Amino acid sequence: MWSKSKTEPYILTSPAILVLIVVVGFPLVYGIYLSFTNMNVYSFRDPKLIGLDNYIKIFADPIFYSTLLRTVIWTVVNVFCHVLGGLCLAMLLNRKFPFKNFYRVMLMVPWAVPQYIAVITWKNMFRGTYGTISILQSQLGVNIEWLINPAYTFIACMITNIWLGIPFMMMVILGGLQSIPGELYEAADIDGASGFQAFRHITLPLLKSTVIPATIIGGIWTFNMVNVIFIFTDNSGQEQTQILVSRVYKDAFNFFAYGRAAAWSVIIFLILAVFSVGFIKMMMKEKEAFE
Amino acid sequence: MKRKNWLSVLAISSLAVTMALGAVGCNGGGAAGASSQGAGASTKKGDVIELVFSEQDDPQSADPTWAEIIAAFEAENPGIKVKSEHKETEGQRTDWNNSVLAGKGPDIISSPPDNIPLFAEAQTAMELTGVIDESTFAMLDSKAIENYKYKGKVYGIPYKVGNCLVLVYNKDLIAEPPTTLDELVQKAKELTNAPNQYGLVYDMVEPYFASPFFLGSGGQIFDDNGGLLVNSDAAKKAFQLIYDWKFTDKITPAEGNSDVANALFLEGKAAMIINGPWFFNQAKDANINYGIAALPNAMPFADAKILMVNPNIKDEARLAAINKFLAFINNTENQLKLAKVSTEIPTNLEAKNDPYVTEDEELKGVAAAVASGVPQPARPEMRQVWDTWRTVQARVLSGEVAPADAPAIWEAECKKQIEATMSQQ
Repeated sequence: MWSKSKTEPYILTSPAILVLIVVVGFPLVYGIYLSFTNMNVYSFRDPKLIGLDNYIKIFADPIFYSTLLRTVIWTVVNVFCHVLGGLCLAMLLNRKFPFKNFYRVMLMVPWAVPQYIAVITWKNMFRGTYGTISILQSQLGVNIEWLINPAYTFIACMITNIWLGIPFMMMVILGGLQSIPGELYEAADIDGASGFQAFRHITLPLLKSTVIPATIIGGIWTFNMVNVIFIFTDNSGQEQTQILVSRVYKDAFNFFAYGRAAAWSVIIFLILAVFSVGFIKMMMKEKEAFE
Repeated sequence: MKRKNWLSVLAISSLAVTMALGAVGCNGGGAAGASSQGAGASTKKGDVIELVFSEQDDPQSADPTWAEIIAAFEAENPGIKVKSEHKETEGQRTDWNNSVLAGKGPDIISSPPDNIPLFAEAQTAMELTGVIDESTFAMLDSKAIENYKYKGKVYGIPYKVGNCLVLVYNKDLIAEPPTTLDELVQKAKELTNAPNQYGLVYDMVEPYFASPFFLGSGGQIFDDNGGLLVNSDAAKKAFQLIYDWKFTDKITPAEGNSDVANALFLEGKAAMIINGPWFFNQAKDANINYGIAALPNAMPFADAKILMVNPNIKDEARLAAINKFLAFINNTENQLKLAKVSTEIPTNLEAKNDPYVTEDEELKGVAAAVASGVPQPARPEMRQVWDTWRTVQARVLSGEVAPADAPAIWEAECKKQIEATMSQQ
């Protein structure tokens, strides 16, 4: 028989567990079930189980591999720039200088503006002939058709997403920087450490516990970021602008091929789960070695 | 340590699952917003019935007219309330399918006719024969109803016709509209002074706006058995035409969607625009001295706006209320109101003979375009056709694909898309 001390944690966490079952458990199980069905326009009301057909077709299609590679590039470049940009700006904001609060507010703007509005604004800036970027580049004698050439459209999407994602990383890293005791830098200063050495041996190691979870979450967000590409390409991008999740969206909500879209989703989930588990294990090993 | 480790893994995996699967598993996601309760509700004697009506008309011009019609209907039928919901075309389609599948959704939808085959196959539209009063059908042009039957069954009521493209021209820049494609190019060249002014503008993203030239060259999308016919000389000609407009004749902007094309015309910076009757009110509001003409050497898709009913409705009282509302929308007075606000042709037989329809110059132009056009093919695969057409057109207009190679790519991609997303196994 369980004592009160054993049952209490389960009672206290049961509301959260219930919410998790409803918002995570049900979509997970239902999504996995759909991925084994032929649910599309012709079998919308009575989908049949078709085993692994959806998966076999996806893995047999070369587009899966090119889209996966593009998604990895998209995620790595975005998250790298988010962390680098966020780190640089956070270090600037961690110093004393005039109008610091004003700059801090201005740097938060990309996060405060509704994403939809921000992306539409960027898209219009990239627009040919009349867009701000097009006007500036034409004055420099450069002619890039951002919204016509799919390779450039993809780069334009990346630039926009980098701009959108830096403030989050900046705030997280700034919080981490402010939690580093000033005495450590004073001691380093007394020991004659240079600014770079202090950064390398104090700032970076102590930021790890802040930056790593933020990078994982940022990676998952970016991997699944459908909005920017969806808006830039009017929901019907060419092959060279698609990432995995935009393909899921298109199959599900443009073509109502829910079985196939669910199979794509399960594949995305497995990729992210492997990435997350691998990343956490690696970090845990490092932490254990450090301890 | 190990337990903590696994808790972190579980938490992050949960986040990944929610984000990756939420959209599909929850049967809605992004575009699919909150669904209405309308069709799922049952009524008791004496209850006020609230019908939910979904439409996707231009809010600025059509909303006041719908509000007026609904207010008059409610005044005549005190036991029925009608709640109108406006949605954009794509979101409306997705929301309807998802919410109807979930046993709910609006009661009635007004939408373009390409939804008929999609909803009919997905069983998210009610077959109307025997459900809707014969007196309602009797008020309408039987040919229009016949045009929008799907596999011999009536799923939708066409209540206005005129969803087609015409050439809208600025009379201050062009006295007489061109009657041939050569003339169009010649006039457009004379009037192009990029980037300040263009001879011709159109939505270069949506292939719908270039489709009249594909059809006008003899192009067809499907054969009688649903086989694709898009890899044709007609498609080559149509792709070559828009390619030349941009790269050889230089009469259009380098790129632009409907926002760009409309803005250029409304600011007086474009002599001609390919657009439809829904654009006329904007041109009027911008004080553009415009005229309309048929597109030279072209055949537009000419379609109706359709009313469809939610198949989840089993409640007799609700069905009776829907019948009353559909009869009210389709009476002579209301069809005329709706047709006037969008410069389209009513399908009500009496309204069709009203002096407004027979004498208005603009409507005559629209009627001529409709007469020269064809309805969109009634096949659910049209979603894949449009999607791949859009992609291939973009590649032609980026210079990546030669117009002569584009039709074969279009057909191959379309076949692949249909096979991947509509397999009937």
